[in-house]
Amino acid sequence: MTSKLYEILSQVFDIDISLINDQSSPETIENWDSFHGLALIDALEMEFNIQFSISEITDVKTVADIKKHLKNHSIEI
Amino acid sequence: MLFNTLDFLIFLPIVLGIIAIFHYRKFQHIFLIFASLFFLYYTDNYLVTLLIFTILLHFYIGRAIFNANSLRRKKSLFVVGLAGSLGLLGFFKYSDFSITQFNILGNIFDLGSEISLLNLALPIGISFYTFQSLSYIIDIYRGSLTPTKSLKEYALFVAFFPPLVAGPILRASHFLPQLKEKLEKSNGSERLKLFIIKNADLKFGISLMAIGFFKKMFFADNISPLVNNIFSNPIGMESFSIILGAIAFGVQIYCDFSGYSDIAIGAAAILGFKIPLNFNKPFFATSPSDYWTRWHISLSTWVRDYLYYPLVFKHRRSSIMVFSCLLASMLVMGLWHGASWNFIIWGGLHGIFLAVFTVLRKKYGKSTESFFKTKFGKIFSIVVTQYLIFFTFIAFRIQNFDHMWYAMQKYILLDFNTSQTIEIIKNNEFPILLLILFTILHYISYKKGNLPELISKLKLRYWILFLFCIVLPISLFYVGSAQEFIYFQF
Repeated sequence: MTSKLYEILSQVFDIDISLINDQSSPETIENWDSFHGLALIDALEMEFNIQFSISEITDVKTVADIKKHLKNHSIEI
Repeated sequence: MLFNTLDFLIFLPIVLGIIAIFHYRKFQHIFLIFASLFFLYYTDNYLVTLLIFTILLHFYIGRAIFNANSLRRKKSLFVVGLAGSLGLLGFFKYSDFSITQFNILGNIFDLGSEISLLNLALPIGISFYTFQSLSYIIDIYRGSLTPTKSLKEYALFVAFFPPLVAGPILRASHFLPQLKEKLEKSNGSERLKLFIIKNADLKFGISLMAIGFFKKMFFADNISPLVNNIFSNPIGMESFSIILGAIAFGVQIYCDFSGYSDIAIGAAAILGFKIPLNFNKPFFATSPSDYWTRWHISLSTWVRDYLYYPLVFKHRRSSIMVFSCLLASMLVMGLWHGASWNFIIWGGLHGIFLAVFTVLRKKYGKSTESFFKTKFGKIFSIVVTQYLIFFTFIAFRIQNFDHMWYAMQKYILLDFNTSQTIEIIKNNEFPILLLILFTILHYISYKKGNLPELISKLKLRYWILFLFCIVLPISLFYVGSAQEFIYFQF
């Protein structure tokens, strides 16, 4: 399942999947700005059929945080 | 109290001394709160009551929101909290601006007599501590923060004197745990954590403060006359003079503001508090997006988390809505800086640049990727970005529309004349030298990484030499009176 998440990240940020890990963040991925962040939220919501809350969206510093929020929606990654 | 005064240089050691001597934990905490209120009272007198009111309002509203048992009640309390502090900020900061606009409209529609201005004094720091307090209740309302049960803890979070009057804007989720750790009595054999002034923190804090004072008093204050020479009336000036003025102002405001942040972060560090970076080499930004992760970071993240995301959350499917929300957020950020159209224009320009850049990157990002990865590509993107950034500084600096319009035109439509510019350079040799020196030092700092940390690790005698190298130029070229920090007016 992790690979599914990484796949989405790779598509949204237009980078090679091998460059992504749990510690990846806006600091390490150049295309990860607030604009692409929204596209990411969209892609994740559509893929896993969930809806994030605003507090979840503003509480993402790394990919590990995304996993944590997905877990809260019963998506085990 | 201004940082760059003898008063502060006396105040700080006294505060540190008292904390170091009186180890009684609860006393230290209360003492720091009162020292912070005194710090504000020193310059603002009775207006310190606004800070006290803001503290009490948000503490109790925050608790009430958390304990409310219905969403409706949570929402009403939240609205009261927002209205309370935004109302205060709006009243003190924006009433005259609103009245002026109303009067202008009134003249256009021939409504009769004008409303007279209130001429209220702007309470120092109100823009900063209001935003800081708002983030507290918004986080509680969103459910991502548990309010603190202790008014004393909350009061110190808001009133803490190092970042009080000009930031960085702190987040409760980042600061309160540090405070809790210091105050909580540990059971068993663990030591009590007090406000212990550790050697490492002291050296790092002093190094950072020294760098801040150097930026402000040696660079910013001595470059200011050059900026004034050019922008007090730019009409008739050559393009190159305008560009020089924009660059000089950019460096001035960077040194002024990041210098202040350095002093604030350094002073907090001495007391053992970690405050996040507010500036991260913005002049090396490779795009408008990148710039906003490097300039006034505590404000840009605040606007992103509490303005942009809530606005765009519901409309993110439509690109047009996303860009509108982006522009709206940047306009508000501009307005936050001051009750004046030039700041709104400044914000608007940044919003437009961000939007255009995002569109361009989406369209051409893949095909130009290899170019921008080269060294030349990187330099090219820095130069273009900075050209745009310094252009926006014109709006930030000039309030008169005719002057602003003239300067902007000259900045873009170059006339290639040089005689006047050369004359200005000749008459302002020292500021020009400072600009060159700043560029060199800034580049070294960019390449080396965390300069303050490296400096604080120097052997004692070299560290003393460093301090000497800071104090000597400042005192040799001291302008004569404490020049106010630019961001005090916000």
